Amino acid sequence: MEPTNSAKLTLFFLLAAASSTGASPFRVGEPVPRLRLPSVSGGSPLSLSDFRGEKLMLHVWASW
Amino acid sequence: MPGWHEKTKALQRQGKLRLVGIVEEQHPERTRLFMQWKEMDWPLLHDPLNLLDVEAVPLTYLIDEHGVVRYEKPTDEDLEAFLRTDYPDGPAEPLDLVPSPDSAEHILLWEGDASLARAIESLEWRVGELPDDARSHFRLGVAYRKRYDSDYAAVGDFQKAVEHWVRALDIAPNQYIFRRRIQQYGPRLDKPYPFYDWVAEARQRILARGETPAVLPVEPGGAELAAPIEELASDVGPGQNAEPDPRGRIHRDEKPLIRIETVVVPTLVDSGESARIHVVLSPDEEVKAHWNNEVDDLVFWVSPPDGWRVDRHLHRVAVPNEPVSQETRPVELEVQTPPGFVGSATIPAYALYYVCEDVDGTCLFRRQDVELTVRAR
Repeated sequence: MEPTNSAKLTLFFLLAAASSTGASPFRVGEPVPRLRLPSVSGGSPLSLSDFRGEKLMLHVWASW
Repeated sequence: MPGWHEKTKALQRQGKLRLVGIVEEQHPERTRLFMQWKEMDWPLLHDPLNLLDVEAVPLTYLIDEHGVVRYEKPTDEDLEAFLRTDYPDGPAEPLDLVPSPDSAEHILLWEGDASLARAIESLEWRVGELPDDARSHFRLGVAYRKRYDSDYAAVGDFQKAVEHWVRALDIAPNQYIFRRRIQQYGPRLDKPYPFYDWVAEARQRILARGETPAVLPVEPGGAELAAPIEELASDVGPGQNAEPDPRGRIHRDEKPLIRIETVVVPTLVDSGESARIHVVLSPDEEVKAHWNNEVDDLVFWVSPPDGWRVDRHLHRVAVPNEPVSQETRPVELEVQTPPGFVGSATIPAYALYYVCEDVDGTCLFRRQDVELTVRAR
């Protein structure tokens, strides 16, 4: 597949990030990351920023 | 999570605290079912690709009214202090994790199954350019498994998913999200606990309340339900467990009418360790093949070489309560390599089944030989 410019750009950023994983984007004192995710519970996709104005408890988890 | 849910119910009702979840599973509907069982009614989002780059779950955070993280793994006292505090607005710019519109990640999150081939092609190119990028290997594994579960499944998708998850974990051995994805389908000797053994009870409890359980598009089975074990115990012996066709006299399914795909999890085991082998048998739709269920179960026999162990030599798949059917039939077995074994070994196995060529065709009892290949290092 011929890579698009955007794919090349993605590659550039991935190279910059090397392959270290696990640097959680949730850091105390920092804003929550900008990311929209599909809703499993029905309804529209949501971003954590959609909850601004409310105090929020976030659980990142799995049922296993 | 159920613990926090109970503790915060009143706060949620009073509008003092909102709860939201992000699930890091391949099949998020299972968490939805779990939440329905436990009557957890807050929004649930899905991060199938681990864009959040978390290493393990569960994680709990308290996020203030301006979207700033204030506590990680909070205690009850932290929650009280958090609720009492009016936080100032923070000037910091958030980290942007939004995938670019033509990236594989965007396709996987927002486009339908028909686009999976494009996402896979893009990620294959990327892992070619970045062979040591754990995230890309993991996401490629997610994409292959997603296609395996879809109407666009191609032969080899599940095995490729496992290959890329194993590669991702080799690169990032402390990444428990990657490790759990392999364990979900892997051998019981390497399982920390049964993953989805709660599903049956959840459904019963939900039905008892007069509700309809959330639908699971992909039903958990086999390894996903199996309990961990500490040792493989073979059951070879007379009677029910004797080899069904030791002299190979049953006619072979030459066409074959039944297609057999095997998936080994993990793809490469350490010497002396075990692998779980998924064998998937499906009637060839092109020749309108179908199972004949009026006689006996499907049986699958494994003959491990000397020094190898299997959890069972003889496996049976019960047939449905209808004369004919065309469903896919899974057999899962575990093999343990001998201590010190390094390299590749082929384990002979065969399936015996009753199959018919088309709706009005003749039904036959047939055998199909299968070679199960396990690699150890």
